[in-house]
Amino acid sequence: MKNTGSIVIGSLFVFTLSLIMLGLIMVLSSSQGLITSDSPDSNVYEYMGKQLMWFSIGLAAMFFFFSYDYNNWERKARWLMLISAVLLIALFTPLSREINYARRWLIIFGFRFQPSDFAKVAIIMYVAAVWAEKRDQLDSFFKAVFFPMLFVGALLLLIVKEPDHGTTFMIGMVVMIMWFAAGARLSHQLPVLTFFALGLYWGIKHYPSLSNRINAWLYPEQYLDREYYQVYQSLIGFAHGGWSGAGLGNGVQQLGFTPYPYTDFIFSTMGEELGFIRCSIVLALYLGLILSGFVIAYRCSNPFGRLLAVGCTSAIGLQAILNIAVVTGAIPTTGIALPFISYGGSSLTVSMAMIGLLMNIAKDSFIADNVPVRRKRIASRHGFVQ
Amino acid sequence: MTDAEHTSGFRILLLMLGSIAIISGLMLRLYYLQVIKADSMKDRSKPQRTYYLSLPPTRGMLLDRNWRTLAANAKQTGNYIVMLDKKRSKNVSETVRNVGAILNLEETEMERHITALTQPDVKARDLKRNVSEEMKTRLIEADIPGIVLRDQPGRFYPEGRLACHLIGFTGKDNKGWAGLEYVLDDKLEVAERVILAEKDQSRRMLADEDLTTLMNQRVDVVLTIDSYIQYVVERELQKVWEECEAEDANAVVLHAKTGEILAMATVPNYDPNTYQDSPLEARKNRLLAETFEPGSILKPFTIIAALDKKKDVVTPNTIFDCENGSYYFAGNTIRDDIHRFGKLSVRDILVRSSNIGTVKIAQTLGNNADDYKNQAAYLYDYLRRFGFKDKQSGDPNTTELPYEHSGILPPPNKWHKSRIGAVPFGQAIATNTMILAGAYAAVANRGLYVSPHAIKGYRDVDGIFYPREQAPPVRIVSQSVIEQVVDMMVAVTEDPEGTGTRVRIPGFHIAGKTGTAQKAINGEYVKGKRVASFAGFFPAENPQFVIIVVVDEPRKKKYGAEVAGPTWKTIAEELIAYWGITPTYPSDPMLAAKTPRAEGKRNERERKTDAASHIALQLFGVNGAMQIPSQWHRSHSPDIMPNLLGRTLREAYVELAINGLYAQFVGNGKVVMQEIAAGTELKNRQHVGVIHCEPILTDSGVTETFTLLAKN
Repeated sequence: MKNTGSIVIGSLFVFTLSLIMLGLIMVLSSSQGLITSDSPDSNVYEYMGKQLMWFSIGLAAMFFFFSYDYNNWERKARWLMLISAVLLIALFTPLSREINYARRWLIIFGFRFQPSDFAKVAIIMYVAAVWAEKRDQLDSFFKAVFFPMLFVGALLLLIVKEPDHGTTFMIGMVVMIMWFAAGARLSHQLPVLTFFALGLYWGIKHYPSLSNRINAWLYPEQYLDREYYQVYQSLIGFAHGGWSGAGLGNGVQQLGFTPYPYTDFIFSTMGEELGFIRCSIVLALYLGLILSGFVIAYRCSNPFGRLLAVGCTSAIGLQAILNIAVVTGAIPTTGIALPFISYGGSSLTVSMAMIGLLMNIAKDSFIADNVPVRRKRIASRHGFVQ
Repeated sequence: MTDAEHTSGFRILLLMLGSIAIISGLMLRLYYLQVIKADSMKDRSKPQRTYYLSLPPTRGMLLDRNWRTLAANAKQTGNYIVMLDKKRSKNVSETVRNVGAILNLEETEMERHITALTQPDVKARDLKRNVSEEMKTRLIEADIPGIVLRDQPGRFYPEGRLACHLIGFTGKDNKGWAGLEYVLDDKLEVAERVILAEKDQSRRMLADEDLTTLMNQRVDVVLTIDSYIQYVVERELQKVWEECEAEDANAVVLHAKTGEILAMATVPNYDPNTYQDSPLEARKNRLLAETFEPGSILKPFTIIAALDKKKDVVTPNTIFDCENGSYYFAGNTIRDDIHRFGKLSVRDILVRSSNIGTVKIAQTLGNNADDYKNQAAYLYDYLRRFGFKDKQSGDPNTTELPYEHSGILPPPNKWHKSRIGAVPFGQAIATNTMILAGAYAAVANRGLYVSPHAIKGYRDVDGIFYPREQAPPVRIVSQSVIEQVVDMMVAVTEDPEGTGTRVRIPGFHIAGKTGTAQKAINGEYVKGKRVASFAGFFPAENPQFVIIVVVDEPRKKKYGAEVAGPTWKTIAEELIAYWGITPTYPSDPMLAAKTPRAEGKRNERERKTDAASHIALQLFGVNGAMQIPSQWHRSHSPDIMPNLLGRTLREAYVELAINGLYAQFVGNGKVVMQEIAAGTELKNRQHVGVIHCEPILTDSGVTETFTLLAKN
């Protein structure tokens, strides 16, 4: 089975690097609109250069998580949760600045860094650890689900307060998927989902910024100049690209029409410049990534590793799906970046770290295929290395 | 494996299927956006990405035959256009009224601007042109939002006075007011164009190759003028004008084969860049706008008429009685000015320019000497063939240029008999220099008339040249008759008795005619007021250039040959050097020195016995036959540096070799510089240094086509 393992690890690595390389090119191509005759000193390679720097940091993170035995995280997850909580609370101190009406970034030594990205990993690890341990008690809702999840809920509350509804929603979805994969009872999960839906409805009613997004999605014509503007421009970009695209750097929508064409809406630029055929290949790459992740989870006999793999895969996959669905106007705007491709340091680093984690799980589970689950977990807990 | 593990394995498979479904769904969504709905969505981006861009009006340039710029576009200093940009103006009508108050606009005009500006598709509008520097300062001080000041486009003439009358100038409105600028206004002017241009979100225009082409779109007009020849002509005219204290002077240089005007100039002239500062008289293109009685330079045409019409009666050797200088005809006495002649042949009548003789020749045109009706009819017919015109009959302009006075040549039924005693030698008829040039070109072309023209063709922005279609040459008189007259005209400059010996240029046969016409003011000939002229072409065997020099009312000197002759000669010499015309026969300064009229006359008896002169007579074709030596003569004594300028490299090499000299040749084409000046004693030196050659363009192609045409 060693052979299958290296194929899965290798394809995961290749898919990831392909997406990142494409992302670097697209960041360069879509930040051209910022270079104008008005700002002659601006550097064409500014955004791509920064992304390249983050990429090297991400590469280091990836190799760290790849070589560090994932079983160690099971114990450390609580502490990571605590650190995340501290970082998220730090957002409400002068360490952070309000950008675009939200406090999402910590600025340390000039680096911009999103604690919610860190919290994302911490929550996945924590949830995986909790349900791996309590996997036999999952039938008891309060014991296995409600009380452990209060900690998660507290962190999500902090993220909502930034405000960052999109990330909250995304992490919530990831937790639900992990719960589902852990073997949740549908009689538990459905009421919880209903409860969350009601919470969402309440949020929409009480936050005009949310209700506007929904309304803009429902009635685009009325919101063309406002909430729907960005999506509308994005759709024009896709139409412009057509089958084969306008060619790299030839997109016109990035010339100020689509706001932030190099971050959240980078897929729109890709649609315009690369065209339908190449964009479909990008979608296929994401699908390949997701399937590889789930195959790793499926093959993993360690419950913690399996849940961790499901969590990381669904986090990356969900982000990609949500982002592309938003950019193509399929769902209301959420504000989630496209993993590996969108310009943004912490998102790229964390995504790469999660891939490293997945590779580590794969390495372990494919090689130690026949090791009994329980024994392996105990052995690792006591510091024995297989 | 426990149940829970089995369940979760199954659930992971469900998740995989779910993600496949969702990603496929996104692909379908993408297909819907990029393929199915693409066309309808793409159109929606047009209004936000494009805008109407107004390209300011411009003008094509005027270029000389070598594409040297004669009239270019430039910004006008101290002249501005006030424009209102609707986007930046809060209240359009208020802005218009504020500007109107400063610029003193009329109420109706302001109303017009406001109505135009309230239209939704109008983005901006010019409120006033020709705004002065002072007004500009006041507008800037007033600081009205939405007001834009633009430089007003204007015209610049980089060569200043050069060809000013031909080119003309534009007024403050940048429209042609005179000359070719006026005539070609429709062709040159590129009106303001509104086009759809691409922009980005901040209304910045996107670079577009097509747009750049469109912005530069204009048609440049390529003239037949050669700047250098024009310069030489103007320089020489200025000189003769000042020397002779003349009223005015003008000259035309035609390329004989094609009728292209290589130069046309009038002095006094003006600088079109500052035309406002020049007197109105200087701005007038007298060459075309004023006519004069041509005088003796018309005689060749009378003789051509007689030789062609009455071949059996009149030949070059037919003898006419010149009445010893005084001939009473139709109530007037016709006189031969300086010399009185007895019996002269037709040839000598032209060579010595006898008025009486010419009238007698004209009289042969009728059935008898008294049949003046037929004489008038035939003379008129031939003059018309050579392009002479009558303004009152509404004849069209000779060239593309405007404001032409095409002359006075009434139809023969209106001729009084006395006209037969005047028109043959160029009085009682008026014409202009350009018409004369055309007529002489027809003689030069052995009876083929080409109309003089100043426009060679058009050039587009990409530098592609489109030649203008020219009227084909028209046969007007038979070649044999013209050959006889050309021989006579060559004799005018080469016969010792000829009136035009001053223009002789060693190495070339020149066919010409002098003219000293009396000037009539209010129908009366005024004593002492003359028009001196010299008309001719060369090389006589295969004419390249027709040059006409006319000096009006010279006060210092009198006769055509002494006033216009030297000017003509200088222009011809410059043309030879510049165009690189190969001499027809080896020049011999020793031989040439013997030919001036004064010397020839003094030693008349000696001349007949002088062997050298005898050779000269043969060489210069005095007997009617021009001989072109088939071999090179040793034309210089070996210890004197020969003149190689204008020779082809090969000719120069042969010339040196004959004299036992050698040199280092640099370049190719024709000799433009020799290290040792011609005539310098060489003192046993054999190496004569460096000879520089440069290729000089000649219209050989044109000549070939012409030869074909002439043969047909």
